Amino acid sequence: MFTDIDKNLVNGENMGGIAQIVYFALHEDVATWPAKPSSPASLSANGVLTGDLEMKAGKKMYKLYITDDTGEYKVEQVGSPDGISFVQKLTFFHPGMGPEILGLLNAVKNENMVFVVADNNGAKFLMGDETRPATFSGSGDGIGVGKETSARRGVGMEFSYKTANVYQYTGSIPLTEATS
Amino acid sequence: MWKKYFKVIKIIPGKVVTPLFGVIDFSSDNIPLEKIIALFESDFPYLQLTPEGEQAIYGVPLPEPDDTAPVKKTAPKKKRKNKRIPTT
Repeated sequence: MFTDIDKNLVNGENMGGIAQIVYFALHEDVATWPAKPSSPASLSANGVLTGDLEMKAGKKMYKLYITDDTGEYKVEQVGSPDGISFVQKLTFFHPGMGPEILGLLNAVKNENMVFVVADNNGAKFLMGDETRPATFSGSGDGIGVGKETSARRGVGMEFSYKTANVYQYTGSIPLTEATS
Repeated sequence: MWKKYFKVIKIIPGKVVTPLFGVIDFSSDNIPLEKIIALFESDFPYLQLTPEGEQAIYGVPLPEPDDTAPVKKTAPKKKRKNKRIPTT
């Protein structure tokens, strides 16, 4: 399975950060999950999910706007030798203290979630799988109206997803309701 | 025109972030057929060929009038040599 790995930047693109839209849904609203690699024949096949995330009837994924340069998708190693795994973390800041974002905060703080995060090079990452969700793990850059008039007013959030491996997601994101 | 050859399945026709072309609104009548075919052939889960699409794009004969069997998405093999894109 091992091969040489060169620089491999498509068109030289390797911009940092994530897009200003992240996609979310309740974990329990997902009907089918993309498949993890099983006996992959190559390194690249070992780093990508196969298939699409599909929703249960009447459910869809939703968009959330985030302030530019406040979103981050990060992978951290956890565990001890022979027990290494990863925690994926998504942090972002949504501007304003409107009822919708506060309602979202209230609704998801103890919920099991799934996120699709796109980076600025077109790669997508799925936070959540059939057995493990993404969960609210903090307020990121903070929640509030700020102190000075120049302060940033809004809602920061952080979500964590514990996973054995890290993959790209190459499937679609349904923004319209599934049918039965 | 594309709706003559393909049917949206498993979702209410609307917006989907597609792997190949970004956001596409499948409630629109004006999606280039080339894009729809490319999505279908990349195992996009929300498109199904109609009998007219099978005939016009892949050269599969239309079913007999009394044949009510549903058209399966997997029926045509990908990238057939005789694929043709209708112009009307």
